[in-house]
Amino acid sequence: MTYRLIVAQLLSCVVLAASVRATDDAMTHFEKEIRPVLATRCVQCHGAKKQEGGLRLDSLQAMLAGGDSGPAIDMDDPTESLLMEALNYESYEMPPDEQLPQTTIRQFAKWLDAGAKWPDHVGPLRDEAHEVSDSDRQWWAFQPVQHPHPPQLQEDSWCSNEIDHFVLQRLRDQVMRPAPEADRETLIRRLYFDLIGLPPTPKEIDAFVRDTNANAWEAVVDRLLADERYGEHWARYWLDIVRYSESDGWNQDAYRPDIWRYRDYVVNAFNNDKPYPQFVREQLAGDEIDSDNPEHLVATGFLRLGIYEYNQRDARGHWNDIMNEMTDVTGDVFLGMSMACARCHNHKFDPLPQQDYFRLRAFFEPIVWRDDLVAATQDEKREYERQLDKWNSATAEIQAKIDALLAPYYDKKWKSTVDKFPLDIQACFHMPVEERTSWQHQMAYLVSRQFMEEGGGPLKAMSKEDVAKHEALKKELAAFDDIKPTPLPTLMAATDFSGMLSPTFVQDDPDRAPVSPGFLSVMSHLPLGSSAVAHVSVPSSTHLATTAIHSTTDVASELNTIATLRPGTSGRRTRLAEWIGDAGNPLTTRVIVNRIWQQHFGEGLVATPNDFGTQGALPSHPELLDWLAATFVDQDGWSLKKLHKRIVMSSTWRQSASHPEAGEYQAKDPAEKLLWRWRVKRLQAEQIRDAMLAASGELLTDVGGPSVEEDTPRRSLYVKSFRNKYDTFLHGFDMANGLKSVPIRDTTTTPLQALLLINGQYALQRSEIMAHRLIQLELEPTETVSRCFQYTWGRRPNQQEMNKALDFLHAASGEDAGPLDSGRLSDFCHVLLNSNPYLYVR
Amino acid sequence: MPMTMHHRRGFLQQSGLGLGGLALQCMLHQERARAEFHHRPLAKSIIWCFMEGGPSHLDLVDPKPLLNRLAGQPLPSSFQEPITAMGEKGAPLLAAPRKWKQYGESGLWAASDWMPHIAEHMDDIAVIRSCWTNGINHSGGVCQMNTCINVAGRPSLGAWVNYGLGTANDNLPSFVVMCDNSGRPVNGPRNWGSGFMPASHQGVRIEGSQEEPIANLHAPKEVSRRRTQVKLELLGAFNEAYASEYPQQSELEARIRSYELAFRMQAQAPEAVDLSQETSRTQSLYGLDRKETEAFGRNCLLARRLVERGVRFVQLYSGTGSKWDSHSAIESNHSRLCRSMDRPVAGLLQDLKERGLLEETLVVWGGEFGRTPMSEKGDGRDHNPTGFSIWMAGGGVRGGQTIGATDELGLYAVEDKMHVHDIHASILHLLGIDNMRLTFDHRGRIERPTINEGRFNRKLITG
Repeated sequence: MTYRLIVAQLLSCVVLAASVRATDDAMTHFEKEIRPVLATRCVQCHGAKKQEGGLRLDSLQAMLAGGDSGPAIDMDDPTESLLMEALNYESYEMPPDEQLPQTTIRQFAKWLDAGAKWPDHVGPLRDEAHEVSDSDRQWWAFQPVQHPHPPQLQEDSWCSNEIDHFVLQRLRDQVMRPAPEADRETLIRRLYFDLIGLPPTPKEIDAFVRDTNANAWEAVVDRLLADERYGEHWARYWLDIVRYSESDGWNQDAYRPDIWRYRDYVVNAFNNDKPYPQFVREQLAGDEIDSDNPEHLVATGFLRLGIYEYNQRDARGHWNDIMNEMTDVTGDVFLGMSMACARCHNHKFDPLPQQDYFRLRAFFEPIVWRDDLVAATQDEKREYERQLDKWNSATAEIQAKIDALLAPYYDKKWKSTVDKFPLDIQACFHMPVEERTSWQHQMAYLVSRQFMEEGGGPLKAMSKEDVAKHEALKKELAAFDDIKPTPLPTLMAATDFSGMLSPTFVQDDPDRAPVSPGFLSVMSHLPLGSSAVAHVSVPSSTHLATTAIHSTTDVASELNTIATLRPGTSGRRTRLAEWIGDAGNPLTTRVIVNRIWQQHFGEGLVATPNDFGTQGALPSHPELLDWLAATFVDQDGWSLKKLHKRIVMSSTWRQSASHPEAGEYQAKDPAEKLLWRWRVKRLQAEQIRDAMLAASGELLTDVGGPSVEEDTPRRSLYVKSFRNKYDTFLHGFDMANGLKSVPIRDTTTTPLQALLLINGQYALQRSEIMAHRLIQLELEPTETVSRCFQYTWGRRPNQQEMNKALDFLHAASGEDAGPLDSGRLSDFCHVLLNSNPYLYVR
Repeated sequence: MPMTMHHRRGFLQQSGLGLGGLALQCMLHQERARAEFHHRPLAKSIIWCFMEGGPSHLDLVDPKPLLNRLAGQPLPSSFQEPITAMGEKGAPLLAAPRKWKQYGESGLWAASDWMPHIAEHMDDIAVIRSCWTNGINHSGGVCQMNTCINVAGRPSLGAWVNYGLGTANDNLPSFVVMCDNSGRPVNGPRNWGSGFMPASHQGVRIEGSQEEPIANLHAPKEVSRRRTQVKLELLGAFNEAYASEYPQQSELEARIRSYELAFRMQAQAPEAVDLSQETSRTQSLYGLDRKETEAFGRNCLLARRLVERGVRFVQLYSGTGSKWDSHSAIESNHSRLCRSMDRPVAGLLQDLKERGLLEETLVVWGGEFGRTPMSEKGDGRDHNPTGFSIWMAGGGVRGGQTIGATDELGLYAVEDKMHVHDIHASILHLLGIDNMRLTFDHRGRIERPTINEGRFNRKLITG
């Protein structure tokens, strides 16, 4: 192709696409170039609060209406608009303090020239005052979930369930029709990867393909949803959203040996189909549940997932960052609201005043990180204590000697640890616990953690002589190991501080006015169970739960809840979890249903799963989304498994990736929002690795437990993850990095991935082992080849593919068939593991 | 999610045209066709010499006569006591026993006897003496100097440039990182990561001294090239057949091309890092013939070769693994590190200049922070994020000048302060990017490389 031709092609792309994209481009232009200037330089004097010269510049209508001097913009002759005159300092001189740069003024001219496009789904531009208005409350995501009836359609034989009714109606509106159902080999592979993240075995494929029973599909669906591997697969998605990783981040990136218990908690929650509000409550406030179930404490690992710096002396700033990040991620995960912008200023686009951010943070303010708790029941703990007492009395003398030997080292290390902190932080540490506020206790915690972790811990500086003594004493002690109880499992957890609670302040607020825990102002109109406490008033320092939260209007219901709390906790997070998990909370239900949908289809009905605000995408099928959310709560009792089943039983999900009208439909609906076919998608990193291990026969099936190195053939879920390590096989295929909530994985296609698969050891080794496994079966060459395809592509080859394979293997078929060359077979397997029919699900 | 594969695919499909080879290559190579300059770039590429661990500005480029006069005394009470990383309280001020002289026509007092070779290029160098940053520890500091914020999670500057401008070559990565030892810098690959952007924008670490400069560039020895070739032929046939079933899914086509590109890279990369093609004069200019300068010199020379081949962003770590961190015995520490770095960096400046490349290549020198005027452990210095220096040369920068100033002891930046936001904004500006106009739609939130802060310091080009 000549250069000229290529250029011509690219140009025509631009022209053809131009009309389709014009509106999008105008919006982008407005958001990028115009809105920020209006918001920062204009609406302070021409907005909701002040209207200098009677003029407002916070909406298109206001600009057209104009002020005392007439309309600000003139759509008939945009370049002559008063707005342009003022910006150019020709008549008025605006903004008065300093003229805008010429490039910015040109952007305004461009905007006017293109018809002054203003997004029609957002309210007036916000200035700094940022009161939440009634029009803000009109935003679709804050509206109560509707219970729409599935549309009644003429001729609906395509539909398997209600989902299809919604989808088919939208298609018919556009004079489109759905794709035919995919063939059975395709469907079974798709279903396995979708529900359990692993491919079906050749036997499972054949069994399903041959099963003519009308319930065959449902039977497989039920079986897979009951399979433990379902939880392993779906837990990974949740772990992405909560930015799970097993290391501290920062410099040392220390491994967190106990955090896997939280991972297992999530796996079990999916496998046990834990109702979603309970899942939310346990993670946000499991410690406050008055129960003997250690799982509830393990769940608070959620509050420990942020990064931590082992040698940070700026304890104040460090903790502040930790709390803010916890607030951000709570908004992302549970509310689908991107809160972080509102930390430093009122959200520029969404109705999130800065106050709301700190109200949300205030729920977490009393938190202390606990490393001293164990995952055990009361009985287990009592039994342990009993045995430990015995061991203690038998070894008291040796222990005393050890203590005496180590004491000077401990003392020295304590002193040097504490001395490195600023004086006010040192004071927190020296204060008796009962006199501390929660903030002072948090500071003391950060100080004391450095005692063990920084500089190799207290015993690193021990003299040789003392090390020898220590070793000898430890040996003496070991003689009593037979009566020493096995330590109880440790865990990473969080609880509230039980003493005085420190107030929360808005960042940089000069008045330092305490902020009480409270929910999003923009949702205060909703009749949620806890709406009475939309602005929970909390005295700035309070003791214990009974007084920690009290509603301004409804104390009785408060106490009702608080009665179920463990003593010594504020109940704040429980209250937050209840508000989030309230069946009437329209964000919660829509957000979780959308997340599940997204994982099944590759894209959510709302394409921005962590942002249901005005900067996010609008739902493609709003009625379907609401029907799913309502059904999920009302009929299915918050059961995710029932939701999965509805989705994979639908004809929508079972469509083929091929559509006879694909070309034409692409032009109509390029983003394929209308769901007229299945979209081919690449396997995720874990699926690629796990399926390789399945094909090579190496995959171990153990569920749960501590994580392993990447070379152990367990599922990728169980591979140790580090925040600072990016160079693993899994990261090569876009695994989440555990730093921010990742609601959708990127899917990149790079030459480095090609190198990783074709030259890298990992795939090469899997191929060799896979070939070895097949050779040992001593099958006919054609049968061996068939198996190769089934293990990787999930189907038998057609004749052409079989011939290519036999050719490659230099194998004769039929009666002269000799044994296959293992090197060639390994190469053949390697080709299949590199191939698109393996890497993609259709 | 702007211009990810997904959207580009939609765009191409909408056109109703087939997928031209060029268009696909654009997709794979991070949207080369997208190179969108906001203004005429002064620099085409950047070589960033990162002195990891925090070099002492007081001993290298920012002389403070008062420090030597007050040496041994505590910090005067007129100075606010900062929170320091190691928290030594009331430590006396430590003299900087360096010899300083004026260099070049500009006659700047901005190079100590620890950098005699770089000093010869003072007329090409602009020293920024008023830098400040937020993190007091290495992790936060290095993270911030790379990603503009001390907390992990944002894309590195190289990733932003990669995203904003795309690649300028066909067969090599666009953003390359090299380290002067086999260790790993603080934070590891996160420093050149792509944060919330697709991983295709991240930097690629090259081991110039290894047979295999890029991971997995070659198949293991026992796998012959011929064997790989045969595999690729069959792979191609399978992939073509699959792609033809779904003509609208250009990602499938893209993956086919990714294998072709991988093999072009396999062919080109070894040549790019083959230093035997350089004359012995050039090699010795960079100090390749001396043990103490060989490691960093090699990387500097590789950087020039890569820049010549269209690599846009090269980052070179000196003292990889916080080696510049001199909490004690700064005299021996900095003597050694300066020796390893001074001649190679000077060689790089001279070589670029002789080849006419300095005008279009921005060279940046600096660490994640500076060091305190107060001593630590008697003969060392603690971290100083509140005032430190970096310097820039080439790429349109006007040399022979200093910008900004620290206080009389070099503790706080006081004049014409430049936060890391401003440093990044300035680098971007020189590369033709306006830091406020380069945006990435991160799931509904508009992100900018300098977190909505930072501005270009025009003095860099006007003096």
